[in-house]
Amino acid sequence: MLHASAWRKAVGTLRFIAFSWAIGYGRRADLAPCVAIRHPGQVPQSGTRAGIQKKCDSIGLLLDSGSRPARRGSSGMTGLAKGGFYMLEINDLWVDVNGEQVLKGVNLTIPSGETHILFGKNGSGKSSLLMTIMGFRRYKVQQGRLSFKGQDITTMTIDQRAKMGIGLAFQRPPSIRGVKTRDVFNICNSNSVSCVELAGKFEFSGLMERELNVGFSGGEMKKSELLQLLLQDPELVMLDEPESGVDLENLEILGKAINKLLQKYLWRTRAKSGLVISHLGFILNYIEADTGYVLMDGSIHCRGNPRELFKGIQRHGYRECIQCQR
Amino acid sequence: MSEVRRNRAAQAKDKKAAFGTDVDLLQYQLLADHEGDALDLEALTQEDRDKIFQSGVDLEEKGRAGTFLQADHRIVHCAVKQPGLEVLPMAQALEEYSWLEEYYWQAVDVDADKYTAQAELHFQNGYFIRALEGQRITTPIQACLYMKHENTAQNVHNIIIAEEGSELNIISGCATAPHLQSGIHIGISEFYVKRGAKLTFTMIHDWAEEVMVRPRSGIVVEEDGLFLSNYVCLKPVHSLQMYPTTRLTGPGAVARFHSILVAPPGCELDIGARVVLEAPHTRAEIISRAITTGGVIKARGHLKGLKPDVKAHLECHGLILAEEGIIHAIPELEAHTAGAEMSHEAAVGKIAEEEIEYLMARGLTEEEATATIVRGFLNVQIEGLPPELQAKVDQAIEESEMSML
Repeated sequence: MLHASAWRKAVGTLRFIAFSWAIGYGRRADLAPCVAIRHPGQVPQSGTRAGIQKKCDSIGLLLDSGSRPARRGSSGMTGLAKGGFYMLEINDLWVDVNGEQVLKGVNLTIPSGETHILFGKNGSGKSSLLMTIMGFRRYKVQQGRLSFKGQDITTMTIDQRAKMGIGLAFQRPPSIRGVKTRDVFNICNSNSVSCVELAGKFEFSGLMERELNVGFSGGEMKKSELLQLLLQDPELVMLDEPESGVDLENLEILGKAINKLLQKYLWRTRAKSGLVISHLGFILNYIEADTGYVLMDGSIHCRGNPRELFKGIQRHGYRECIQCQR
Repeated sequence: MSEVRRNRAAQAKDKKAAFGTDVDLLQYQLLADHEGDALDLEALTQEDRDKIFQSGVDLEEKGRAGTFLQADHRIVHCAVKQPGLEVLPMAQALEEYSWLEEYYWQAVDVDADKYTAQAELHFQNGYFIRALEGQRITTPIQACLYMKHENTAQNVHNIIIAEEGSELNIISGCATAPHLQSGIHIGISEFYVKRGAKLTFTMIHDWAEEVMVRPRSGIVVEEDGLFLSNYVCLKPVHSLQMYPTTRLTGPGAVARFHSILVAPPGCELDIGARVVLEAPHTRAEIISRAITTGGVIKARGHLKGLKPDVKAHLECHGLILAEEGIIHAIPELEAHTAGAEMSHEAAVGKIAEEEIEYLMARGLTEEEATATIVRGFLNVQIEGLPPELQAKVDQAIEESEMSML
């Protein structure tokens, strides 16, 4: 006989699944799985269109349907941040690092409350895009415009952007000798949250007195990054491969942190936006992703339902995605 | 005995030192006993007190087991508040204890160079501190050598003895009066750490821009003894050169040196530590953090392993915060046996852009990020240092940051 508490747990889990379905899949029913982005000078060849469409369908992609991803109709939100602007708008962004073109005409818009995911091979420009949004000086904007909540941030310094509400969890954060993790947490802490309590909750207390990232494992670094962001509480949360190098047990804990960061369960009033890089797609289990992109060679090639997109990539690789739009 | 010593000194009085700019000692006045202002503790001005306080010496004597204060060549104050501890002016100690001859000029050679020679030929006191056998004096003892008279030479000789199984924590501040510009300080310090004893020596220097400083120290650590030296020099000085030698003579002896150095423009710091591991199972560590804001720093280190099963590490990290600054790390490892495990690590450069930008992404301005990294760089947590002395070191660092950035 099942114990009463086990029953309650089972019922709770079922309720939770139903709830997740209602807010997750239900909401995305009208969302096109993928929109291939047509680049200037690239004309779709009408003769083969039907054939390609068929192939794309099989991997969950659609050719350019001309529509933007639908926003949450049910919640009545417009997707615009306060003042009627998008959280993030990137127009025709060209970026150069040490003389090498790393971004080539990226266009991307993230409405308030939405989380978008970037897929792409190593070296496709995903991290470069995040670093450019954050304002790192090595990433020189040659052309184009970045705006955050309607304000042009293209020439702003990193700290100005951070203070406005942009936060980045680094893929490979630097080690800083002599600077304690606790000190960096205090720097991030914008809401006078108890750092000690937060660290305790995420099983991080033992690392607080250590020098930042000195001798940390991959998973510990990722955790440190996410906790820093939780303290910083940015409106635009950028995560650069938050799950890579993390063991399964810690993946759960990190998932929890990411949920919290992106307000996964606050779908009606969600105000946080996210831009997340993922290789492995695990992250899709922990966040409510609205739109996915495939980045190839410095530009965005497809846009669509992130789960479908990821399935397609798993099945056929990134190359197919590009094939699709031609 | 003393005759022989004086002869050796006389012969070395023009002998140049192995390192550092050569100083013409004749240009400095040697105060005779009757010269200069006689001082007692009450006669010290507030300015003097502040300067002395900044170098870690609290004239209120709160939380201190003993105090020694010498201004120029004169003893200002000498007091002991704890049994088992002796603090005496060196001249008096030499008079009272004939056995002190066995320690006097034994860890440092009297004819090493012109500075040791001058300290012998023109002896101007200094301090004698001793913890009696088995006495653990955990409360710090403070000693201050203060220079007040313009363009003079201060030649002191100190002996510190931690008898068997005892413990001593000394904070030694050296400073110059606020308006003093030039002078030379020669300080002979001989440390004897007996079997199972522990001696912590924390030295904070606060000199003036034209002052030359030539400390000459020797340390002998016996079986299972521990010698811990912390040296902090964050204020401008014209030229400071020292290269103390430590001998670990008994199995299990340990010596650790930490130095935190800042060289502003016009300042030359040539600072090192040498440890000879003469017995098996001895350990040594030399760690320095050096920052130049325009001055020259030579960070030397020499580890000499003579017996198997010894372990030693040498580490120098340097930060260059101004284009014209120079940091020269000169680490030397010398193993005379296969069983010596010795390593060194040196890194010199400017602050990594990546680290600054990382902290900027957390909301700090570029200046704040730089200050945080510099503070972290200097923040050496010294193992075994009593919290009170660590607080003094931290305070000195904090004060210097303001002027540095």
